[in-house]
Amino acid sequence: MTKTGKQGVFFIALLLSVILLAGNGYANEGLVAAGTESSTAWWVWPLLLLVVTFVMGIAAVLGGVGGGVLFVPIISGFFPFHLDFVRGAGLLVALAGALAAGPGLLKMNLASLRLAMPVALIASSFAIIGAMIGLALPTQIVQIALGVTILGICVLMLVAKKSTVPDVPKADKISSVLRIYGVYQEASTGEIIDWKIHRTWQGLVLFIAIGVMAGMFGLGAGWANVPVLNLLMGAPLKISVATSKFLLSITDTSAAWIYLNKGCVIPMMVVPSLIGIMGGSFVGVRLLKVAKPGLVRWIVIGMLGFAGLKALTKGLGF
Amino acid sequence: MPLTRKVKDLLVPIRDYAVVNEDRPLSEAINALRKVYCQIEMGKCTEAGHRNILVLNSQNKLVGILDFRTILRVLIPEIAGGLSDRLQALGVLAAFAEAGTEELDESRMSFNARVIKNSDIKVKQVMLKIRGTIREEDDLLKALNLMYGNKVTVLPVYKNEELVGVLRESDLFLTVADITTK
Repeated sequence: MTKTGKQGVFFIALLLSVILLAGNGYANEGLVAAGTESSTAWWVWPLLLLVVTFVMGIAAVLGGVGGGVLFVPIISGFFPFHLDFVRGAGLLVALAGALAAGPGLLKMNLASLRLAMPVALIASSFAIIGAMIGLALPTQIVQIALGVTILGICVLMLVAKKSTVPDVPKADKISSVLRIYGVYQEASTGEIIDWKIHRTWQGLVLFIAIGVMAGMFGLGAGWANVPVLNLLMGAPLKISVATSKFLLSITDTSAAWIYLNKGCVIPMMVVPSLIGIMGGSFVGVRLLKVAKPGLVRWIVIGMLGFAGLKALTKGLGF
Repeated sequence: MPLTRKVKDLLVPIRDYAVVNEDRPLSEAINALRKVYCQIEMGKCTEAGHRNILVLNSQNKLVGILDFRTILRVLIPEIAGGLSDRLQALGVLAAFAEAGTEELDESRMSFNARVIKNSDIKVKQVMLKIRGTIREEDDLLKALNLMYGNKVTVLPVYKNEELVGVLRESDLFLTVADITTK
């Protein structure tokens, strides 16, 4: 294995050990909380969050998964925070990355506003509904649904293919009326690529579900946006990835307001998480420039699966 | 006493200055600035040329200015840019990496290709606003005041409504330096 590969695996191992440590602390906390006040100092949790999210940021970049997707299941599974606060923080974590990238992607002419706007309108409206549902349902039910969703995401990550420039024989009516098409220049080859989309209404219907899930679980939604835009609707992969990230900044903002309004956004959790995940991404992209250890993706998906199972068992009360 | 001289005694006439239209790509501004800075047509780089290029609109009115620093920030934002530029560059890199498609990220192109691509941006999207202008009949002390008050190194000089030239910090320096040498 290359040096970078070893580094990547080392970071993931570090993440696992910190999570186990936090889980262990949580267990002690549970024991102590039954009798007396918590024996853990208040600053331990923000500090642990900072460390875990830092490693998570690296893992997200090296593993090719969104930071928000890792954040909610891992933090809710292994830290003693109520799920509502974790989802609130998760939305802001996903939002931070999207807001940082948004202007750059628009300037590079990769995020398509024409594609993003109709989709964003639907996804953000339903993200608000999703957030309301998520906060109204009993935590256990949300936890079970989260577990199932995370396991579904793992399967999606394992089986979903990507298509650089999908074949779209003919643009459909809705996309023609909404003028959802575009042109971009492939920087590596200089080739001009004309793109259009099809199966628009099917895509828009799916974005209802994506919006609800994004709002309900605070996961971010890049994992679902990209396959729908790319494989179903036929947008080129580059446009799909960029538009998906830009979309997150709209969808998650809508949902984040609901969490903020309900008092589910605690700066003590959000600030270290944001700093950690952005710092981790910073280190991650530097490691990525040297090499990408393929093993890391498997470890990250495995970790995600484990966190999904943990959410499921937690919800079922095992 | 040199500082009793007027702005018009010291200004660089507009015909000698590099100008670019606001709708042109940055690469065109860079070429024009390089030409006047290095006096390429004379076959040498004196490195004492103008360090700014004026941006005009379609009516030939002055609307902005570009300097070396601004240009470099646009060409290599991840290094020369401010915090928000760097965050943006990081965000884009992370966006592609988190989707498992880092090979599609244009910022992974070679340095030269990236610089060339970044120079495609329109001048008006990156130009600096004009902070302060002066009339050719004004004296140099007023120009110094304006320059340091507004933290700029060049002042566009007007005669009535017409742009006639540019007053540079370097010319003011040489004028003041004359006092010490005389």
